[in-house]
Amino acid sequence: MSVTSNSGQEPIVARTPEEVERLGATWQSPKGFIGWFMPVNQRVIGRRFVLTAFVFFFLAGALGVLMRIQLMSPENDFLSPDLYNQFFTVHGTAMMFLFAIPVMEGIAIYVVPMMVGARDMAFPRLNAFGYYVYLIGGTVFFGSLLLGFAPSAGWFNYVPLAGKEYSPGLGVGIWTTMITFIEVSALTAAVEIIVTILKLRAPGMTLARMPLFVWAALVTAFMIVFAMPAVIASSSMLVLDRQVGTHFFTPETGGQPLLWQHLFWFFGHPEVYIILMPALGIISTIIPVFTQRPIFGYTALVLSLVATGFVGFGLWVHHMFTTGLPQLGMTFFMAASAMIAIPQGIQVFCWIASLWGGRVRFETPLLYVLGFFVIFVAGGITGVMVAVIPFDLQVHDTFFLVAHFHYVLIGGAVFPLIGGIYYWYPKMFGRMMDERLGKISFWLAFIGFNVTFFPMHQLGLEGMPRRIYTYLGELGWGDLNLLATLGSLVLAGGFLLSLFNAVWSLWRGEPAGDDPWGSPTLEWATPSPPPNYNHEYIPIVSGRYPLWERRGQASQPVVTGLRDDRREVLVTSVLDAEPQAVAVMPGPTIWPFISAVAASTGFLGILYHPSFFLVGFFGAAATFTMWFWPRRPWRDD
Amino acid sequence: MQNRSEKIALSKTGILAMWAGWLFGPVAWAAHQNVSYGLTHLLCGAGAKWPFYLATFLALAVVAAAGYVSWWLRQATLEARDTGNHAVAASRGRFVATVGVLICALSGTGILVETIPVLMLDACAGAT
Repeated sequence: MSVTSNSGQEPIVARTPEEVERLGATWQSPKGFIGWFMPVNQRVIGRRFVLTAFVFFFLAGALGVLMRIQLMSPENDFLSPDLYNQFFTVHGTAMMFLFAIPVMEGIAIYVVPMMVGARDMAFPRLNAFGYYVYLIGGTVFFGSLLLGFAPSAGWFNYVPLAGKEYSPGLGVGIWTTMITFIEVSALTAAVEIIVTILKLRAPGMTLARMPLFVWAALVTAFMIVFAMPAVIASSSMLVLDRQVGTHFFTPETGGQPLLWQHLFWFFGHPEVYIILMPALGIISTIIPVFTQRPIFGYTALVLSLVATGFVGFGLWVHHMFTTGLPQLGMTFFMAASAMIAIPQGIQVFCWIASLWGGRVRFETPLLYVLGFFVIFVAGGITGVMVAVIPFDLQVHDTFFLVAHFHYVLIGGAVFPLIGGIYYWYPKMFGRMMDERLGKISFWLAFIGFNVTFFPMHQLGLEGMPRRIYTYLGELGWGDLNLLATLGSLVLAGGFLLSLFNAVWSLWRGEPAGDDPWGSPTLEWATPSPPPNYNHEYIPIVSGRYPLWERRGQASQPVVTGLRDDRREVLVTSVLDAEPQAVAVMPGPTIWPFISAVAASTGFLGILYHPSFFLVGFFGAAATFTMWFWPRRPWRDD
Repeated sequence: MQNRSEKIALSKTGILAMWAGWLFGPVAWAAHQNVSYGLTHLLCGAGAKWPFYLATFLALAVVAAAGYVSWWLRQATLEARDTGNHAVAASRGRFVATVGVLICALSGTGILVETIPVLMLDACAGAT
């Protein structure tokens, strides 16, 4: 191995301009129309994941606003009952499957390699494949709404409502096949993230020195690996029930509808932590930057992430408290549901301690984090309330639940995510987002959110059920519903203002410079936007806050010797990140896209005839063969 | 010159044992939860609750053992912290072991909390 470390004491033999140019060309993504389908670089794929997820976010958000307009007054006929059912199904499904998971994975794909000092993800082509699978699946799913045959059985798709008898037609079939397909994308990204974090960290970045966002991404990825197969299994079984005539869930032939709920929620509850966990990592990233001091309780924060990852798998029955399960059996899950407040509480106290007495810079990313504190803690408290079986029996399937999970999902995931976007945008695009617009957007979103969802607690306690398209005037729910609808318009305005800010800043934003926030993590050691290869020299890490530790130093230790003419990355050991080998990464190729199209043909064809499974299977096998066909430029010579 | 415990902490076996708390604590808790859940159905009408308590005892024993291993390794790595060659490994080892101890404490708490209902409720309550 020709790779050596430079202690930082002796000067590095800098690359000549020709060598730097060659390095850039080696990691260059192709241009042109065909070239659009070929990139495998993590930053290109990560950015696409994030942008596509936000497209789905705004589409699903628009559906949410339309639902609120329907509910703003009693006996409104703005939407038909069937269309309303389609809207809440697509809204929930899109927000969970097409926005929340992909956007968090996209940010991890974009940021993690730079944070750990790598030049790319571990399996770049798999990364690209995962994106195209997600794009095709999501587009078809939303397309079904435009074409009028969207699913309408809810984002949880309970049987027997989702069975062929009560949901004929294509809708539920689209849901099951496309969701399965999108989960494949989530699994590919999870595998990528795990291997990248464990094997491509910069030398010296031991487990105890990994940034907390990287820890969060790692735990999230492991959760995806264990949770997603449950929903893939259950939706595959439902497809078989509907298309082939099996009887997994049909009670009249010995099936078990509750089996669907068990399988779905064994995925579905970890799912909310899969969404939350990266957001917690974002918060632990932002707070030290805006207080300019190390996070309080690093070990406790890692413990909380890991413990949440484990305990999150032991709560799924709390979604089924009203299904007639034995009381004693349910109480075990009630205990676990209440207990998850412990690691969450530890985290919140660590963050408060980090802010306490510090010189806090109240800029937009931190504002969104502070908004998270208020909203997420409120949502957490109502979460402990609904973890208590007697209370849950009263409010189950009411608007109290709608309020609770929007508080934890929007407060717990979307607010930190928007904060993270404001924080990393300068790195992505080289320009700052406008601070004044950012602050206005935060206050609009924060006030709009609370005006929308806080009244729903009261509506739920007054007995307003979920998933109803209208209600009678004499029930007295009109005023609070009108308030919630007005709030939703303000909330939408806040998010749209952030969107405008992001687009406007692309051209008019202040140039950012390499490290505008004074951050401690390695992604800020690169230019903004970063070059194709991220880090010209792989840094050597000696602490948790590498950029702060190198302040005042003329140079810092780096790894030299990676070649310019091949896509080389440094492979390091799992525990202590000691250099082990140099791996040659594959370059751009169109085969992941063609493989995704082949697999899509199979997945979609199943809806038409089960034999299409074979078309997809053999088509994917053929394209995978081409994908893995050895090519000279990537052979180690 | 390394002492015996330091050697063990930095050996291959020690590195694997470092993860005991991470793995066995949560697994014992999850096993306890799901075994207890399954026993609820089986013991309805049997009039005996001792299998629940046995599950609790076994799970707590596993958690305690894993927690002790993590604690012991944590103390062993403390001694290796300041020795030049192994400082990084010892620091990382201590971190992993400390988190392991804490995870075991949380898992043990979970097991105990989940046993409280067994004292209060009959296994047949609410069964349909």
